[in-house]
Amino acid sequence: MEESVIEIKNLNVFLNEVPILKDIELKVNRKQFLAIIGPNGGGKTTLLKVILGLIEPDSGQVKIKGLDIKEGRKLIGYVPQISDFDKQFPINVKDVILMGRISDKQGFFHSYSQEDINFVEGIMKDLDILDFKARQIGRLSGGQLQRVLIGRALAAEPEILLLDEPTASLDAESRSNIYKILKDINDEITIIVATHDLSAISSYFDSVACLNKNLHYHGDKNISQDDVDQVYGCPIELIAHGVSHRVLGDHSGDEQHD
Amino acid sequence: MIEAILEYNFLQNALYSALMASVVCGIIGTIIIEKNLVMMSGGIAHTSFGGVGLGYYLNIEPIFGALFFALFSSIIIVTIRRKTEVHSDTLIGIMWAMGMAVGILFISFMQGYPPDMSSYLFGDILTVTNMDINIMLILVVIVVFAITSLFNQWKSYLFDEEFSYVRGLNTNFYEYFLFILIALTVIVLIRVTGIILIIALLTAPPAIARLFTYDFKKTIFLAIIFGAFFSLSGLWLSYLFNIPSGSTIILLIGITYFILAFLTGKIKCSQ
Repeated sequence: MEESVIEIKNLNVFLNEVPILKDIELKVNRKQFLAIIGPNGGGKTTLLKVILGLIEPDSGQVKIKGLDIKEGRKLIGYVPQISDFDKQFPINVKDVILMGRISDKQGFFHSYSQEDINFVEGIMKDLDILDFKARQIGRLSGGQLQRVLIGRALAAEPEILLLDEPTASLDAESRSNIYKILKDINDEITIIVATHDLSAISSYFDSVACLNKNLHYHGDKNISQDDVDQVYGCPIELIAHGVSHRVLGDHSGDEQHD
Repeated sequence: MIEAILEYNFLQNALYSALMASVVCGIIGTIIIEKNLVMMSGGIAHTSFGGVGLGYYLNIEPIFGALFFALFSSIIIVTIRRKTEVHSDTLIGIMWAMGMAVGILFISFMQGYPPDMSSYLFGDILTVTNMDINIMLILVVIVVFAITSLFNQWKSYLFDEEFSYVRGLNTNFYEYFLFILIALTVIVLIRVTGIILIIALLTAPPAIARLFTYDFKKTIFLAIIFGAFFSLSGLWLSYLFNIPSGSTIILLIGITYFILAFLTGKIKCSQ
């Protein structure tokens, strides 16, 4: 029996009485690399924010390693959408990543220890952003900024990484670069990515869930044509995005394919 | 002017209050321009006029009335903003005008000759009293201590509220606290520039500082230096030519901003 790190039961979220998430059931195992795909407005961001305790669900239960959200989310590293950011904010790369070291434990007149700084520089080296450490974040490319945000999340030494559209508005090269980084991180850390970027599914993720109000998920990489039809309402769009047939076909029992 | 400063208490007070105003403007001003809270701060400032009127009406020091109104309105604005979906702009607009209306109403209730409100509206740094200085000093110490003692946490909160919340920072606390600090800052500034001109002193020094640096801490320090330089030179000019101090300081700093922004290429004439 695999150890589950996130367990969601019977989750419902409404916004002004309109259902955003309906009867969500989801179990994520340790070191899983899960993609949550679905159209814009399908509730991907909402689901991530519920897991992080940023949105209060109307009903249902979320457990992170058996803990309630308030305790459990300390184990999560969060990588929000780049587009939510004020890129003009006067702050440099190193200071952003150091923020991952902040928690509820620090008191008055806190300053980062040499240990914090060494740790963060190690992360920057791994993510290949050490060269820009003094650069203001508005002067980075999309892919660089995305790596900075991943670095900030990793600085908190999380067991689970939640990423919201990490490859939106990136070119193909930076996109595969980000997925390669995530794949490496996945050796240690459970990763959940919300994305509408269907092209990466087959090669990097080991499981896929489809979300459009309802969640279609069978614990592996297989999505039935039926699920896709229900979620997107248009299978042609999938083909247009260049998804390989393997995703839709029979490919069971292949979770540890790497 | 140096001899005059040594000789006259009112000039010393003007000097102290200009310096203290620069310090809080540098700190809180930098925060509010990064957090897009400029209009919010203007709203709190104008609402405090109701307190000035109340102070006159009840025959207590108007600055205490203003402090009460500023704190009260800042807490109301945060609370309503969090609990409802009313757009903050709408809310600020209503509170802004209501505060002014309350002030005018109280003053009209007063028996006899109405007091001169212009020093609260437009500021008169040359009439700052010893008591004003003491109040300002206390408020400045509170603001400086609050920000410096939790500097890393503030920075994280200001940069990314959601991430900070997930990491366990009590962002509710920081939001309320920030608005209280804005209210205290407004009170420090009332005597220097007046309610109507406060926004310029809060925004222009950090805006000038941002032309020269991309670092949060440096922005604050530069903003304090610019603020001090311009309020002192404004004070000197207003003393020299006997013109209103608040307007002089604001015009000086505003014009400087536009010239520098133009020179550094932040503002362009044409496409």
